[in-house]
Amino acid sequence: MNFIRRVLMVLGIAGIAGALLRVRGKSEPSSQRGGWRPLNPPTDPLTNQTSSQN
Amino acid sequence: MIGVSGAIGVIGAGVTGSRVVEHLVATSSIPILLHDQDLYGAQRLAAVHRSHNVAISVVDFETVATASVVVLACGSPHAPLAKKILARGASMVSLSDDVSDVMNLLKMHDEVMAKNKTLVVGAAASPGMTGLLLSNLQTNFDEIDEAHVALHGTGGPNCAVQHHRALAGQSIGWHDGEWLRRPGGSGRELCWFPEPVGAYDCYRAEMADPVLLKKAQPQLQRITARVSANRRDRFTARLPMLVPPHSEGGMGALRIEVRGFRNGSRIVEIAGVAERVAQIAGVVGATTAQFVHRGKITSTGTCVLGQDSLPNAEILREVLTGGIRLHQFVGT
Repeated sequence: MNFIRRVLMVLGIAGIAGALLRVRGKSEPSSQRGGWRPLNPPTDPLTNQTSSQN
Repeated sequence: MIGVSGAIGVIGAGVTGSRVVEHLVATSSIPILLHDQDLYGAQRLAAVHRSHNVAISVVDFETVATASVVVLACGSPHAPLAKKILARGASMVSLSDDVSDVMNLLKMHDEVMAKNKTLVVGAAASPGMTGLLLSNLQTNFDEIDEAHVALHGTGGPNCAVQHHRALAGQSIGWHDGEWLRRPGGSGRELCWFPEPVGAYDCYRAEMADPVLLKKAQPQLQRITARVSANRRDRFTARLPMLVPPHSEGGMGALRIEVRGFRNGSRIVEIAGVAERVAQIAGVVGATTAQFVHRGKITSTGTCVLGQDSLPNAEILREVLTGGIRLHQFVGT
């Protein structure tokens, strides 16, 4: 019985701590900015091998 | 590379196999020999395309092996099939994404070379498209040393089963000269895929990409591969699949992040594709098979997409003209 009480108490404390962190925790906004842009297929294999692509 | 029948053989009439056939029918008039254990499924797929100008026949295994090149688009393992087909003298394109299967296929190098044939290993989405993207991005660098792959979504049911197994297996990663094994489902990383897929948490998984990208570009120092998963996927990964997989996954995506140097500066380039995974795999597999059939892939033995001896830029161009749209991440 004593063991069960201890387990429940530990679980309760862990649950409260987790809930507090979840509700009050703050995450840093990502400093990354950007997005996806379409890439055209390489027009010529030789050109593709020697120059960068847009 | 023109074989006995001058046709392209396709083994597998499932989701990926049907995309391979669709692309072959749409882009060429080469006869197609189709084989599947499910004879009804193969006949249904052949009937769908019979009205087109391409001769498509449902044949037994012995006959499909007489094609000049055979696309293995069935569930893994492909290595035992590849041995049988090689004995009958055909080149092959395998769409397998299973690590042990891919390793067994790569071990066939000497046998394939002795027959003067070509075996392209992992010509699907991931691996496959990732190798083409790596080769494409490499042109923007003086030197590359890292490649990091992420995949979202699955193709057909076999692909979904493979995805399930991959999260329970051991991920393989190349790290500063040695292969590192980490448990699948670990190493969470938020990866942004091209729209409309967006951001997903991705985890290490037993994927074949690191093995094949290392073969394609041996100078790479770090290679990782991750797959998107949710809590349920990770929780149930070590259990048998509790519900049958979907007939086809929804919109998928893949991305590859390549790091290296240009003009002495450290730079990162990211390219990605958003499309149904089976569609990507089908187009890449079919296009590769056409290149082998036309004799544009002259390497004998086992080879992988992205290695310098293959016409990667030409293959990628044809893949993109096949309806796959390529995106590049720009930003900081």
